[in-house]
Amino acid sequence: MKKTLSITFIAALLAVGTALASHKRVTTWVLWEGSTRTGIAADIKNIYCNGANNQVCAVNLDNGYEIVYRP
Amino acid sequence: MLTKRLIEFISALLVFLFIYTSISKLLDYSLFNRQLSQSPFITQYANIISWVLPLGELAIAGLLLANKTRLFGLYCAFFLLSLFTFYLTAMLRYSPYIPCSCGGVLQHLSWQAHIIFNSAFVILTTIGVLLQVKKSQ
Repeated sequence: MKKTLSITFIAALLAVGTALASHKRVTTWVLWEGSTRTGIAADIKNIYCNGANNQVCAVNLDNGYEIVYRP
Repeated sequence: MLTKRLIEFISALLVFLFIYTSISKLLDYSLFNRQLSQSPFITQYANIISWVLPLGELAIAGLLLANKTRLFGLYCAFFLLSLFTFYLTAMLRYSPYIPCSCGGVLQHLSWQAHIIFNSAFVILTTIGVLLQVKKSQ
């Protein structure tokens, strides 16, 4: 019981930490047409890539793997 | 012993998923609420759902933390994940406009990838339920 609680409790703590750490991280994004924009992922999605997630819209310039999609 | 470990592992994954996504939604509450209100199927319930969904996810994570309430938590997780997968599929098939209402990094997944991701978690939760029921007998 004690061990079970600790594994799930660690998962809970990790989740809280990850969510808080990734919140509102301002980064630079390359949009599909080549221009760059700075902002948090949610704003890039909302302003430049709003709608269905069908094709790549913006790529995070800092890490290269975080992608925002557009219709 | 292996059964117990598997149940712990599945519960930990679900706890991480639900707490991470719920906190991400609550931290970006205004954006989440706006995205929900743009959805053609749930526009009129957006204000209620934008509170009930993240709080419900936190409650399910709480149920999964304790041994006594784990089975009920797994049932709730299965219900919520299945409902969300059904919603994703319905949106993909019938909605002309698809705003993303996911929390954290999950908002960057394509909708097809999101359905696969959800389906994987539904399968994991089903395994968790079956193992927990077997363990309780």
